[in-house]
Amino acid sequence: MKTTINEISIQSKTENLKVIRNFVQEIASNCMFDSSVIADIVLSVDEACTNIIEHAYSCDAKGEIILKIECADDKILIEITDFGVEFNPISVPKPNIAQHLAEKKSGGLGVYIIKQLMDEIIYQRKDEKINKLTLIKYRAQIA
Amino acid sequence: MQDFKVELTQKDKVQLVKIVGILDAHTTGELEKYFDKLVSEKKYHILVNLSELNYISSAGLGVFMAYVETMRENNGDIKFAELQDKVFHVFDLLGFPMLYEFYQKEEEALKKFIEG
Amino acid sequence: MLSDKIKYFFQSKLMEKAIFFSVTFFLYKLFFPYQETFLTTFITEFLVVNSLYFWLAFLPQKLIVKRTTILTLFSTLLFIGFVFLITEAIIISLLPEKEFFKLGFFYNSLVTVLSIVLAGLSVYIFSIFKKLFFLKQKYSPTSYFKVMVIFVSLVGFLTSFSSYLKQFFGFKEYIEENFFSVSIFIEWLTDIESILQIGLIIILIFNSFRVAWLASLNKSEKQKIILFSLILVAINGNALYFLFENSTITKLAYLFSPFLYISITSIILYAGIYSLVIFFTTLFHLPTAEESDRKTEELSTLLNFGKLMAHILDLHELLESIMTMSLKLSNFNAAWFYYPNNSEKKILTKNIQNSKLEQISNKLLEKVDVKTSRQTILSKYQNIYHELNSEYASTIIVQFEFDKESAYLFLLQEKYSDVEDEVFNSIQGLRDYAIVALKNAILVVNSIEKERMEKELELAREIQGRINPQILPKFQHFDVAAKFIPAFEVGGDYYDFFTIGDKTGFVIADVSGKGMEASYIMAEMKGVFETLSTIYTDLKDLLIQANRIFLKRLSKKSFITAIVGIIDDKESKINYFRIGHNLPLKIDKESRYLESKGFPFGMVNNEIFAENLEEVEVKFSQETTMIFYTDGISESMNENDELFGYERLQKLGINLANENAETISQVILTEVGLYSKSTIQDDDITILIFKKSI
Repeated sequence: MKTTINEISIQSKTENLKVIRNFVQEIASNCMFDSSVIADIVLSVDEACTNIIEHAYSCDAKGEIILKIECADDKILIEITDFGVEFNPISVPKPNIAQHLAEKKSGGLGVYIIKQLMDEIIYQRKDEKINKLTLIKYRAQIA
Repeated sequence: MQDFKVELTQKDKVQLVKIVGILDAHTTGELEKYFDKLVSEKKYHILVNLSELNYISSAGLGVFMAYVETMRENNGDIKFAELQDKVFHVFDLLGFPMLYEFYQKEEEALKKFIEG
Repeated sequence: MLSDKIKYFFQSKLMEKAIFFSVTFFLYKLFFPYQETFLTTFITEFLVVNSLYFWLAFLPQKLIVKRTTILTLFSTLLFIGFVFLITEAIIISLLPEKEFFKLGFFYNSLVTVLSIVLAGLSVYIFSIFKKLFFLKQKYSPTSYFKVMVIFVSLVGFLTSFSSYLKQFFGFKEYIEENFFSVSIFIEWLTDIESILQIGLIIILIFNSFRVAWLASLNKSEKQKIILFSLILVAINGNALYFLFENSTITKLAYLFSPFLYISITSIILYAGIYSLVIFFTTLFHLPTAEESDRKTEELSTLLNFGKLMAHILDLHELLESIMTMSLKLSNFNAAWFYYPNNSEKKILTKNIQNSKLEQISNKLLEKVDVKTSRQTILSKYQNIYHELNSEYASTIIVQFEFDKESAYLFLLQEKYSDVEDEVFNSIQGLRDYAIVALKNAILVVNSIEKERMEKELELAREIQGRINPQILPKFQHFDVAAKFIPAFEVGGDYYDFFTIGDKTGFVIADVSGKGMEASYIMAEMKGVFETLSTIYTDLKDLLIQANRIFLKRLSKKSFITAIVGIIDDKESKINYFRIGHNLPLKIDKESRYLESKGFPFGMVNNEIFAENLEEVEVKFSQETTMIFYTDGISESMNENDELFGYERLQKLGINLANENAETISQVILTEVGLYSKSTIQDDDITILIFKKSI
């Protein structure tokens, strides 16, 4: 299994979510992951980028998101870098869906999805200006 | 290529909402407009047909969460029908089956609306 | 002269002025109790305005006393409000129902005094509220406050004026009949009065919402404030009730001084509204009080921690407290410290027991750049945490960098984490304190280590000193000399004499290792030889037995080289065994090293040891000298790292062949010392010389 490396830079617009998904889909397929796992990875990256667009960049389209995917023997590793305000998705508490319904709000869902679907999430705030979110999905292991 | 489309049909008191394509943070805004319109027209019995929805992210689910209580307060509801497996998987992740009604076939859901 | 006096007057202190106007007002009132003419009215109001102004200017300054807290301000308010009520009640009880015009001089003066007291109290109350008003406001709301005071004054003046007019022109009916224009004027005036009054009430209410100081209170303080403000509402409400509802007091007040009446009423009204606002605001703020409590506690624990840590000098104890503290601050479940440079204890844990934490630490550290970032890791991947038996785990890693060393604090939560930014901040703060303390602790550890080594060395030297013989045995046919020069760090050289059978035995040995360890082995060796020599008469048996013992007692890396011999004084011969030691030097006509087999003690099993034991017998003639020594001599080095070597010793031996044992030993030591004079002696030097005595 060859390790492939790929990287793209995208403007922080929701239009670009489609580009992001296609990119992840492409690389993850090359990585030979199951299609259901690929769908989970695509969704997780979509959610993470949506959060960056909405929270780190407050929907300012001038922001940059760098997406880097590394494929290894045992895992796929997606590194999402942005330069917006500090936003630690891991710190977002688990949403209480029933309560959200009653209060007619919807927040924290994306992070919850990422936490459920990914094996490892690493958030790093570097030099007080860079947010780096690493999502890792390991290949299914034979017990 | 059209990524996202909403088709509205009225069946008795039930408003059929067929969402086609992709529902992500980008297209969610458009869906919200439809729901605002429905609420302003006092249409509270919503049946969402997702047979042709290929992708949904949490932003899309957020729309249903934001409006369902308004519908229920007015004796209506939002019910879902004909979801593709991969789309249902996302609903399932967030525990929607506990809070919403899901149906295999649109007719079933319609019947449920009319009976209940 | 007069202008100077006036100037002086205005420069004098506020309190003096306030007292001056009050006293003047009092005296004036004794003679002109009620406004009858425009002049008396004017003078009354002039005095009232001035005394109020100066009291108001003076009192708030006096309120800033040390230890004034919001609660003390409130208790003062309660007390004064209470006195205010009582004074009011006394005035009312003093006044006759109707004929208040006909008060006697005594009553008149009493009521005047009490009215001034009332005025003073209300000014005091107002001063406290003024203080509260300005407390903890981001932007000083001076203009709002001024507007309020101006409104009060305006209403006061207007009321004063209109009441004078009314009084002057008598009853309303009378005015309406005779002075139509005046009547219209008075009506118009009354309208303005009520408009201003409404404006005043609005601004009073508006200004009652200055309660920024509430946010800084903790829960129990807020609870007290709720109670206090409720009582204040009751007191001020009652006071207002008296002021408004009692027609006697109202009429009296209008006659006495309308301005004063309006001022007091406004102040009490303001106090009432403000208290009400406080009551409700506090009530709604109570739930958030816990948050502020928590933060205060956090901050104070952090500060205490700083103080505490400054006193902890034990490194491990310090790391322990950092963990305890971090867990407290973060609400996480477990923590461990990974301190790679600490040879003694690389992992220190709290609420977690796992043997693989070092690997886990390294694995986690590979994933992140701890130096430049703060990070959270959420991992449910089996390989990292599966030893911890938890499916989800989130980790915060904090690097503690000090003196080129790093320790990493891992905080672990076994569920979804809600790591607030504040948690990061407080842990960051904790780290800053901790690093200073850690540096201190390490300094202490190093100096303790140094001290410990010095103590040990001292002890080792002492032991060595006691083991090596102080007095040499005397022989009939042998001239014996022994020299021992210890290295700074005890090197493990040892020589001794013992009795075996009817003869004297000797041993010269070099124990591997240095310092304390070496001195223990030497002590042991002395014990072994002393014991075995009483049991065995045959030296070979003794040596085999000794090896058996050393094999057991010495660690695998340690061994002892030695030469053990028996001195036969009668026959003038020495029989010895070389136990892996440096070859002895024999000098007679020539100088040569005597070779023989032999393994050191504690190196090989007993069979091999025994097989290789080779007894050497040296018969002494007149010329014979035997030199036994340790490698401290042969391995002495000069400044070019060259060894003293065997050849040098050999040549030296020939040259010294005719000297006595003592001289030979001294010259050899001097030569070795000269040779290695610019280097540090890092091994013991021992030399044992036997010569046939003349």
